[in-house]
Amino acid sequence: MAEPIALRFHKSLYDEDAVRRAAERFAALGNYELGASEADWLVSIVPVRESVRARLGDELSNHALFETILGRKGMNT
Amino acid sequence: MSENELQTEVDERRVRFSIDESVYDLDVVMGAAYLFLDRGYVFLDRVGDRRIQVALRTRKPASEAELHALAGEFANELLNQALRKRVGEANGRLREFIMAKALFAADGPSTIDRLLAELDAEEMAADDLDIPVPWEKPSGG
Repeated sequence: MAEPIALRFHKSLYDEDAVRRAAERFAALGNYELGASEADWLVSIVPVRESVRARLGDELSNHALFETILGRKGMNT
Repeated sequence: MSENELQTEVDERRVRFSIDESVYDLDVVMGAAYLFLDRGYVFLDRVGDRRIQVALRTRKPASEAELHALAGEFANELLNQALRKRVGEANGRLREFIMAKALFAADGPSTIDRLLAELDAEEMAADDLDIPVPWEKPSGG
């Protein structure tokens, strides 16, 4: 079984809904699980293909930030 | 290197630096980050009570000089966003002032007051033609 990619997003910087939406957006490329620690929102995602592994975490992180910024501006997608 | 210069850490395709939130608040950092989302990958993390770490990662291989330049551009954008925010806030106060002045003009009665005064004046004026109207009592009794 492929190793999961572990991502964390500090709660004071990223919105929970934004992180969830970002994970959902990339669900076709990986099986994800959401969680939380005291300080961070956590995403664990197992890529469905090894070829997407290198970019999946970066793209998902970018999307989580994008969604967070839109949410702060009141322009949720 | 001066204390005010941006302290960066560079590794493969990534440059990291931290921002003092008492200098650039989160809205400003987010505004700058938004503009860099299409240029690469942007990741924010909190590394202290009032410090935000920004990590910029390029999509393609980049030299150390290019990564330093990218961080510099981000720093410039922070300044730009901070200025835009301040101008926006100042303009907001100016807009409020102009609206307040228009609504409560100090140099005369408001439009509504003037109209009411005109109506009062018309009612008080004598009717030259003295046309009787049915709802008036006959003057003779």
